[in-house]
Amino acid sequence: MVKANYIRMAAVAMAFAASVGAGSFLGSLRVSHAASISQTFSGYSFNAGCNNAIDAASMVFTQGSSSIYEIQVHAARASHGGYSYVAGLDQYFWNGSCSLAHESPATGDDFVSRWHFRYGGQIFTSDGGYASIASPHFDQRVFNPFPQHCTTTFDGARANIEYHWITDGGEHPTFYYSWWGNTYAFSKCGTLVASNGWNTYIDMNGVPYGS
Amino acid sequence: MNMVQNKWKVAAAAAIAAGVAVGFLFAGTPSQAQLPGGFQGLRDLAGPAEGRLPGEVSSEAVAKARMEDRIPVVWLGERFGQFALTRYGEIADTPRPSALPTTQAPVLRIVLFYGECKESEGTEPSCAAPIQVHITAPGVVPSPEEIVAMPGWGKVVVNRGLKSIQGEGSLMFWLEDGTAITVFAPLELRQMALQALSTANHGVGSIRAVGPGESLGPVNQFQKRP
Repeated sequence: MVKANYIRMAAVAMAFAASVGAGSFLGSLRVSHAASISQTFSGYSFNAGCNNAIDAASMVFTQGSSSIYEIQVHAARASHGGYSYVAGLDQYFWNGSCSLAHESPATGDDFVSRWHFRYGGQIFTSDGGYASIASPHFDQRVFNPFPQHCTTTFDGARANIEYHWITDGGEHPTFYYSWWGNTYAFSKCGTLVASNGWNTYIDMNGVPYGS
Repeated sequence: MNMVQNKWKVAAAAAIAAGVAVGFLFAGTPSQAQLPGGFQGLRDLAGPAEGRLPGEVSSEAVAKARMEDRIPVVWLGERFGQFALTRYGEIADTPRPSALPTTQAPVLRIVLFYGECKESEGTEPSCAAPIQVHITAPGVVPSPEEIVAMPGWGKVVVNRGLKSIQGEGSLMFWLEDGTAITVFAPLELRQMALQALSTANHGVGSIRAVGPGESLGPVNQFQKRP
């Protein structure tokens, strides 16, 4: 009788363990549903454990087509600032896990000073459609004594994209800001560089945000 | 006998139901290492620094923090656990929210680095200190009420006598004039950092010294340089 009870208790315990697994699976189906932009991305991927999170993420492209090349194609246009050079990826973004950047548009090659951003996406979000996170920055060419790129600003580079995409080219009139608090400071060639913590969202197709 | 068997069946069913519920609730919950703010991504990169050995406090940074007269400096002392104060720097922040052409003057931000920051070799040298304290003059950081109205933020609480919000990897505090104090620290050290905050430049700002654990309220009375 005692032995039988032990067997039953073991069976109950095993049933509990198995059902935890089953529930976890069901729960994972639940969380695989689209999350909001703020739940999907981290502007603070360095602290999320991502390798080589070398630049602050301060921009999100929303309402994309789901093609990872879409932003690259737009960026290369003269009306969008002429980010026609494809630079190195080597930055990870947090979008639920650490993911290597998909594309790396820049206004020049490795041997000149340039505007540059890397981006990762496109991830479907509940409030921004297909969205990508980006890390605009300006690379100042220096010789130290070997040629290097020293980042001098994040916010200035974000403004450069805002100017060309929203104001000058005018193809992306729908945008908004929110505070991410992504102000973590980096030392770049001895100089402190940090974002002011604001994030710009630029709509890719001009459809009013949320519509 | 049947009643005994039924009891076990009920117990098994209850266990299954409880298990499903537990698994469902915690599915997708990131582990500590995955959480933004987890310690995994932070490394106290040992390496030579200017004029001092790795792990040593920068006397220059200490002096600058104590003599700063434009803004109240709230810090973690000369050393926070294993992390020494290694750098005192300034950033000219662009006024919010956009950096599009503006006539507004840049806003002062003081940055304190704790722990070593050795820039990576290669074509894009870069590093970040594992513990950082930033003090930002009014004009960039929104008020706590404005922030919690945006998506993804928690609630405003009072910590050490100041309004405070838990950020991503950080704790933020506000003085009454809008000056923001941000402490970046890994999750497991954040509570300790909260308690360790104290004033560095009370002497030049004519306020009484605020030590670890005390209310930071008196910092509101800091007299800035005219």
